[in-house]
Amino acid sequence: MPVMKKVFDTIAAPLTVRGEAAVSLIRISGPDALSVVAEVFKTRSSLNKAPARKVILGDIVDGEGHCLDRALATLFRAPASYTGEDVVELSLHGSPLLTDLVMDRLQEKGARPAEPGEFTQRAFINGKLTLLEAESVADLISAKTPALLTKAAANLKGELDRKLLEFTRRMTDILAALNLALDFEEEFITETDREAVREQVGHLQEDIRREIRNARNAIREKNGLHVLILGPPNAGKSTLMNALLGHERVLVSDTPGTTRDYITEPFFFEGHALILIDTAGIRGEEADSLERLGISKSLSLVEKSDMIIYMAEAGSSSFEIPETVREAGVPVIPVASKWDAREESSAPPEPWLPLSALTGINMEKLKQRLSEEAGQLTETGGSGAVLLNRRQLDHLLRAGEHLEKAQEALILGTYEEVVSDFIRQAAEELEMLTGKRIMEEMLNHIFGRFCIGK
Amino acid sequence: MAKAYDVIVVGGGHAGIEAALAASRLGCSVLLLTMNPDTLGMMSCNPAIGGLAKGQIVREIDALGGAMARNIDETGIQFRMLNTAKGPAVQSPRAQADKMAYAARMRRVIEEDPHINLAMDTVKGLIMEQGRAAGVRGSYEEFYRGRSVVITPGTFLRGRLHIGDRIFSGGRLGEHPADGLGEALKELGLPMGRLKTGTPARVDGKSLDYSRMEPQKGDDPPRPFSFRTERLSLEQVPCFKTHTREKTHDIIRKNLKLSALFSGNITGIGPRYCPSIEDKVKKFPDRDSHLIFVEPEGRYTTEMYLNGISSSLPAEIQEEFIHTIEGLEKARIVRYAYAVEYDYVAPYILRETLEVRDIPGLFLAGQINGTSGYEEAAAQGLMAGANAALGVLDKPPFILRRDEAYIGVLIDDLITKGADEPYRMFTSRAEYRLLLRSDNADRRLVPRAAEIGLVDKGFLDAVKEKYEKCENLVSILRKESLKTDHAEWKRFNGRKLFDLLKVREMDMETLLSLSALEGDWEGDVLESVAIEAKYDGYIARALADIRKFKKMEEMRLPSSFDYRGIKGLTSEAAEKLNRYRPSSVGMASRISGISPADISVLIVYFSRKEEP
Repeated sequence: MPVMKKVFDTIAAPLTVRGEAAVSLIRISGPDALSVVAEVFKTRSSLNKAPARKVILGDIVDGEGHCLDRALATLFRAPASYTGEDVVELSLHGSPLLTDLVMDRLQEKGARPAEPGEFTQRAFINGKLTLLEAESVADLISAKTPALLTKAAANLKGELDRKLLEFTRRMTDILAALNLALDFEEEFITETDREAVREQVGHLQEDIRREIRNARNAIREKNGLHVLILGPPNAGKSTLMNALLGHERVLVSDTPGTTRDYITEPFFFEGHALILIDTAGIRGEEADSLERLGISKSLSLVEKSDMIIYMAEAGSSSFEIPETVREAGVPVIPVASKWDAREESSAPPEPWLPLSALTGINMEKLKQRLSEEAGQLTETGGSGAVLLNRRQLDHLLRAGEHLEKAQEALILGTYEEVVSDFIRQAAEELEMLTGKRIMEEMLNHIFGRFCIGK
Repeated sequence: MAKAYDVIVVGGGHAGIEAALAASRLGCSVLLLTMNPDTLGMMSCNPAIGGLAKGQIVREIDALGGAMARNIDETGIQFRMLNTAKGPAVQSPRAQADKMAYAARMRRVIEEDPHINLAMDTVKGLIMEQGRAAGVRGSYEEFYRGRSVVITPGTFLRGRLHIGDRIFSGGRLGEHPADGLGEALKELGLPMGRLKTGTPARVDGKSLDYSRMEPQKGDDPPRPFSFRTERLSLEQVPCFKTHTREKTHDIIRKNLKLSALFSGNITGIGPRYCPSIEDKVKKFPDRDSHLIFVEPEGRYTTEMYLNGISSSLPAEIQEEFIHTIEGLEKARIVRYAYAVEYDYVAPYILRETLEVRDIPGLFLAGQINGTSGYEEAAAQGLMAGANAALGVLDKPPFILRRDEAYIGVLIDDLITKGADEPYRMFTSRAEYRLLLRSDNADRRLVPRAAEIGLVDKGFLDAVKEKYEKCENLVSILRKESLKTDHAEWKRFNGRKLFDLLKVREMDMETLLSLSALEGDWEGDVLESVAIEAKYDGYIARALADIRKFKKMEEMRLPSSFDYRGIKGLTSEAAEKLNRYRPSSVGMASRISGISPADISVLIVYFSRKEEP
């Protein structure tokens, strides 16, 4: 296991990012947290007798007893702490050198540098956080939009656990109904009401499908919506990118094929985290080999994009979207560019949006379209809890598959014990999702993706 | 001093018998002590063997060389397969027994066994030497020395019988209790509690009006329990169905407080799944009728057993309500219904071998471990007897996993979940019930049993041969396709025969008549292949599932270790683990009250230990 070197020893790590700042925070957690800190942090009365959850003033001292800083310490006594162990949090002045020195001293006195995610892993194994709550810590920290923040917070407060528990309860009820007829002789049973079971499984499938869709949208939002700007060379793609960003990010010239690779840039916009991707223009025979490489890259990006702005120059002979783009299965906003420089005045055919990134014609309209599409792509049915990572989603997808097989078996008239087996497996997936059933591999993978100090 | 036996078995019920026989099969000298040799193998309650999930257990006992299946084949008077409307995994054989014949034949099996000595005595206590069980103390003879002891006292451990407000000491009506042994076990420090079970009245068949009841006949042809019984030839006798009425319930309701169950006389907890009629009336107030099976107690007696209405109401109330039941209006009661309360030992103190963890050489099996049912008892007896013998022979223990046998499920449940009420087996208790079928118990367990000598080579060879034939037939069916003019089936032409068997309406007989396959296959081979086809795919998935969770089952935990030394565990969890001493992380995860966080601590702690 990569996560923990030694079990339940005392660990320490800076909680704040390294660099000059007002404050640097170090957390020490474990059975020897107080005694280790007492060697480094001198107070008037013994640290051991200090009250928990009160701020204590003291001196950070080096090996010779020289004072390095005036600092604050906050004590938490097990189990009333983040990790469930004795915890001290030291607030130093934000000097990287000082932080390094203090970390060195803590190690000398027996603390081990914490591994990524180790504080949160301890919170989980000490029963302070459920698995889903522990995972939500990472989601909360990395949230790029207010919507994601509220979702991660809801998960942190146990809302996702409650939601999934309800699914589990419904599965248990279905299993009980199926098993009643299997387990008892004539005395108690009426035959299984397969219609009723089908209906219950059906409702459950619907709810899980909705949850899966919400999770997909939330994860998409978490990863950032990839907006691909695509079109023939010299259609003004880079100009549009710059106009959206509000600064000159991409080199623009009149020579077709200036952008030979693709360029990505985050774009925070109306509560959405977009990733704009400016691509090499797509054209046929006349492209040189380097440019052709760029073109094939552009097309390969289509599969990974969430949305496409397809641009064609106003007055270009045909307003047509290439098949690969049309069939990509993502929303496409067709744009007729350079509208300011058009020759005829007739509007482009529907649904092409006439636009000039240079003069700003219809830029607001385009942004509105982007916002609408982004809203739909990240719609999660309100602000409640939602699955926020691939691990969680994978388990729910498998639960959904098992339910589908159960439904199929019910329709085909397959034996109840087979139906029941599918539902049991669906319930098992939920147990693994929520961590009610924990396996060694899960412990490694889940906490391995955290950063140090979480 | 008298000779020392390898294994001493205390109690001659279904558990004790299988324990003695298993130890004997492994070559040990066995002393079987019973309070009364005349009651050896007695069926204290219903005159039947098998039933849902229990039938599977009986087949497993048979595959491990046990006596129960063959005994019922020889002495049964009606055989039925239950749940035939459902899939094969949840179908179970059940048979009505001739109680006297069943017990008599079982006694002969014990008496004919060259390694078993049968003796009559009432055991009062245990002989302990250096912390080990070294024999027992009797009432007539002071010392019986044995290298291991298996205790199977059934309901006799400080048994008290209740009929209304009358209380009798006894394990069965008219028989003495084993009070001394109960007290001795308590003094050893074993955690003990009280459980309760009940049995209904027996009535004289001459006084019943069968014309007002619905007869229920056995299957034709009857199918044997034992893999070693070729066919049954017997004249089957019918059972009868009748039911309680509103008036019955009125009488019971009016007199509820006179029942020992509700008067406060009984403190032990009864089986939820086998409730008394008082319980049923109280718990299901909107049901105006409950089903009763009227079952013969034997071929040569007129006594009939009233399955479904166990009770502890006073005798005169029993009389009154029984007379309201259709066909029983003039029934004459031979034996009154009664409830029995008895001591049991909380089974978390046991190892998977059924040995008491802290008293080497002492094994417990049957109702003393909190179970109910002849089959559950016999299964434990067999496992305890085998492991007692293996211990004496200094050989590794014999343990069945949850994915191998209902017996594995049973023992694992007992030692991880305990028994808050008498434990009865259900197919839904087994995660892998599609694998744990009554038809394949031989395939699952005979090789395991042969490995340690519980069954002979002849049985193993027969099973091998049977399943070779099965595989042979499967490969033919997978190769050949359907080609028929049959109106109903020709739409399936071109499909592989094996896949055709998956169609619910298709059975082996039809398939063989549709195809022109050359070959002569025994009935059990055909059945086995048909079932394999029906569950094809599902079985593969179940096996994959087992592999997925295997790692947790294989992550061993030490047998002596103080969990309080692990910092991350809550004190409750540490205390529980210290008490239950699970042998693997997987087993720990099944103990109630052990949280996923606790399991994570164990994983982290014990997977780390091996690394430098």
